[in-house]
Amino acid sequence: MATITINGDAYTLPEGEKLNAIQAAKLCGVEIPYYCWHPALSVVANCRMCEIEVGAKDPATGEIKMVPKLVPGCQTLAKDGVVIVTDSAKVQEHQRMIMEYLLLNHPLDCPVCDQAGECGLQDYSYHFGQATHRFVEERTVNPRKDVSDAIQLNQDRCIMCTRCVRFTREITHTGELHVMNRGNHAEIDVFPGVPVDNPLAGNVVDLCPVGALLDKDFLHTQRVWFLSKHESICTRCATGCNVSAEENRGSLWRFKPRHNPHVNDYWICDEGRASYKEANNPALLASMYVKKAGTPEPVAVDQAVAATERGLKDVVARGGAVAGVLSPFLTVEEAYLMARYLKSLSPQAVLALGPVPVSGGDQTFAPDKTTGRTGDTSFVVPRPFTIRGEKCPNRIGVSEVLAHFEGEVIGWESLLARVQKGEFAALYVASDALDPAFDEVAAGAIRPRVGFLVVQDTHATPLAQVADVVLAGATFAEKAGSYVNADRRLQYAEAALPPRDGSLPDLDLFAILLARGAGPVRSREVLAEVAEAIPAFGVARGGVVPPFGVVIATTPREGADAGGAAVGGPAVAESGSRFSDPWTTVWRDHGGRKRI
Amino acid sequence: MWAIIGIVLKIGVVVGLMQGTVAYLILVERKVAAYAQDRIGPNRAGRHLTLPFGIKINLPFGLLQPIADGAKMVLKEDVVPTYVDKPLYILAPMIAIIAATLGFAVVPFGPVGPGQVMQFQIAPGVDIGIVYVFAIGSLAVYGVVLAGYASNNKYSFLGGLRSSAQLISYEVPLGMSILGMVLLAGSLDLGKIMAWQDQHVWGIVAQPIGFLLFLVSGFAETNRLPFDLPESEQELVGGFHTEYSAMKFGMFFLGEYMHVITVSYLTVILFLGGWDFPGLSVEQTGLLSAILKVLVTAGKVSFMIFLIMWIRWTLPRFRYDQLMDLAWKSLVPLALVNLVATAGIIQLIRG
Amino acid sequence: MNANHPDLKRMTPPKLSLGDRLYVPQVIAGLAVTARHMAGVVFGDSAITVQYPEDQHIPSPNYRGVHRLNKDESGRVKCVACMLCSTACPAHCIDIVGTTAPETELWGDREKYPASFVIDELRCIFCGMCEEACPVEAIELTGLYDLTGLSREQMIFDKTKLLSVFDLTKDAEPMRYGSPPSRPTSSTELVRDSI
Repeated sequence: MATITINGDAYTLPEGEKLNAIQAAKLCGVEIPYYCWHPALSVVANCRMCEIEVGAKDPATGEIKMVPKLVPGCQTLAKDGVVIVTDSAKVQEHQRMIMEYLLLNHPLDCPVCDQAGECGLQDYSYHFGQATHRFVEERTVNPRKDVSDAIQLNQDRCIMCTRCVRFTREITHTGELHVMNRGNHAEIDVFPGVPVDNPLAGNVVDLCPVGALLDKDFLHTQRVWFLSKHESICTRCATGCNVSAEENRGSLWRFKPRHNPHVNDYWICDEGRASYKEANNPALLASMYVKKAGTPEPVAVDQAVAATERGLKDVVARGGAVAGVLSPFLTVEEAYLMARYLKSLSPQAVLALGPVPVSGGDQTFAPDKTTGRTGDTSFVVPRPFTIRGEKCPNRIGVSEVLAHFEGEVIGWESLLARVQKGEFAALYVASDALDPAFDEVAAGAIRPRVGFLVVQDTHATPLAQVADVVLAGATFAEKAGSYVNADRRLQYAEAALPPRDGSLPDLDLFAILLARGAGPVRSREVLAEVAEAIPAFGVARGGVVPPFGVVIATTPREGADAGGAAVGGPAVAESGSRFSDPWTTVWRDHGGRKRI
Repeated sequence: MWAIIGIVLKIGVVVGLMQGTVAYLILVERKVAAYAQDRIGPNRAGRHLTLPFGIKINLPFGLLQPIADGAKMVLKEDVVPTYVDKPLYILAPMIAIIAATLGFAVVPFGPVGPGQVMQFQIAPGVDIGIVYVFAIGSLAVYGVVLAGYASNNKYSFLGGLRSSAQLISYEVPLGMSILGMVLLAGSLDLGKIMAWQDQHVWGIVAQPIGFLLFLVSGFAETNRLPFDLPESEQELVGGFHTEYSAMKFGMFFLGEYMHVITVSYLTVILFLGGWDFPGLSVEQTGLLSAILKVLVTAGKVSFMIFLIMWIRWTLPRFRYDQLMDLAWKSLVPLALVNLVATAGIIQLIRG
Repeated sequence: MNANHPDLKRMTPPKLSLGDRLYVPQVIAGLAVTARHMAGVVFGDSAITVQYPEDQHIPSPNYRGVHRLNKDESGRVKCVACMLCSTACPAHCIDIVGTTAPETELWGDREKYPASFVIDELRCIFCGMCEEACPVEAIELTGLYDLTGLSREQMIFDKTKLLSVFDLTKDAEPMRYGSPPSRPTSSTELVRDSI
């Protein structure tokens, strides 16, 4: 147990973690400003913003010996007896000076800069800097340039923290970005013909503490203080990266990664980063449809739900078999309610897992303590980042639900074979158009063999176009619920957008079909039910999922999948706090209105 | 038979004149208000007017404003809220205007009495003249109270309540303030009171306190500032006439201004000598003198009306408790003292 | 705050003299005041009325009327679409769509400009916060006060219209703390132009 002294107060640090002064001070509620330090990157201490007074306390005599010069906090190990002073006049004068240096060549274009509102320079300038500017010479002007098709570099805004350079060297091991030239002429650049196009390239934009590296997709569209952030989960692959879905005026504008040491560390891949666009797709179903005289006609929500219920009950009453297809894009809660609904219609109903899209293999970025590292890596905990080939968020979660109801997990292929044999009079397919499997071929194979076909989807897929009833469901952004990732980690995603006109979130549709009573259904309550009903989900008792998610129990039936252990590195407390750079915390209130 | 036709004619002329006068009083009121506030007031209606045959005229002072105002009143949507007590709601403005009109029946607007070329009074020779005026005038309170009650609106109801208390309170000093003049003239007949003033002195000289009491109570009776508590816009958003619109509202308006005219006539008759003027006396019965007397009366009345407006745009509104204090703690005792003193002095002089 | 709070000040109503309590002298004094004013209007020229359509009211230099979008020397809109005005706007009447400036000769030195800049003049409360917030002095409130229109749509001013307000007022009201308008122009013309 280490005891350190910060600004005259003694604090006890938790055991087991190797922290630097910035991290230790943050745990104790003291802020040390920094730009170049990042917990996943090696320490280079080149911004000098975190310099503090450091000393050591002699355990025997209690005498404190201070280091005569200021020391970078990012490089100072918070070990027993360390004395840190962050608020002395010396430190404050130094911070003010550093701010003035950093701003020497920085253009005053905050009004047009997308980083404004979540900018390290802005925030620290207010807190540690000064309002005046003594530099009267001509500022260095560097033209803006593209470092890739998706990323723009405004070099004159750069403060040469080299976070982006270290990221490409140490994490992706691709090393596209470099510091060119020296001194006042130093700039970040790529070699001709070698753009920053690795699958994690977008992270350099998040890493940049100022507005030098900008995402062209987000460029000049929104001001960040208009965006309300929602803690979401990326649904593009089975990794289930933690993302912040940022919304304004009913549209998503971007995904930003949220730190989760067990899943995605600090990163998201570019494919996931761009996947927010699906929530704004104008082609999303804007109405429910019921087939009347051979053609689908748009109907109100309640009519479509009634048609579904009537059709399925007719089939069951006539003794026909019912089958349900639960896509791996459904949340655990939705899968549970859908299974319960179909089983309540007919206990003989067959439930199957929808098609699992797979594209290529897993792609893992496994940084270590040495490869590409140039600085001090003693505080770095290298964690791998994997982009899964399995392009759906919840195969394991839905499978667990199916295993609970069916005793086994029936795959899509075997169900399709049984459908083609004409075994089922009614088929209820709940999915998301991200499934490419429901094409003309599938539609042609299924339609003639099924008397009553219900498709619950977000797009008019070929299968939906031939269905008897089309229920417009919610996109990932419109629904709240939990997903189980490839490592069996249960994570909860908030809804970022309200349901589209003419649609209902899938959970509400199932709740209405189940006649669960009036009012919106809360996914947390359903999750609590799931936790009671299915042993594997017992860890989510009461519908509570810890901030970093929780690994669900392994069901004996599915012994092969044993990825339960936390990924890499020493244990981080399950309820540990998230890392985020202090300047990325913008107002959560919508519309930039201040709290009064 | 001819007498009846004459009276009907007189009624027609008087009521018609009154209505027209009221319309212009609104213009006058707006002008007075404007002048008191360093403004100009309505001056547009009537300008650049093209009459038939291409005659172009330019009327000053917004002389056609009353026509525009009247047209507005008539043409506006007459909203009857669903929650009102309909019969009473419709009845209330009628009572207000009928009471105001009826009161004028015994008011002499010129010389009256035996031997005159014409009786300038709708109902000449009514012995109880002044009592009739007060009796009818008091009926106006029904208009306000019923309007407040029928509107089924808290503000209106409060306005109605205030009005009933105010009007009933001020009836007392109003009635007592004229008793001095009645004692002096020895008659309730307004014509005889004017004749007495012609032969002796004006009431304002003989009865200064009575004049003041009458003026103050008269203001209260007409519901005008500084005694317009029943409608006070700031507190009661219009009071009893909050829920009235179009011509129903207009009828309250007309009633109020007719009341102003009546009170002005009474003040002139009781205290300012009526038609009395140097050079005119009760003995003159010729047509010319009659016309002169009518004009003199009208002139004095005009001044009174102007005074009433002038005071309206000068004084702020009383607080409700001050209003009641003034009536019961100041005016009524003062009126009693005045009455007793007058009676005593008359007794002393007549021996 | 209790009744004994030290910050509470006890006030005693002023003592009224006999004249005050009799009302009448004070009433007469009051009548004299209004009489003076009436005489001033009738016999003098103390009326402050402006005969509006014939005479135009000249507002004070800091009057807050219709907005305008200023242009720079090259005739480009000065606005850089930073959206600080719409952030500051308490009525949420400003809607801006920003976009990257084209890489042309004219726009080369600019990074961002408003593709669309719309002010709902009906929703605006003319508080002037947008003008305060603007870092590039692009949005200003002019002295135009006679803002009328025949429909709600007409009162939603887009970029073109806001720029035309600048052209309309730039002579009378130079940018930023210019002298008061010598000859006010009518914004009614502006609306009529666009009917």
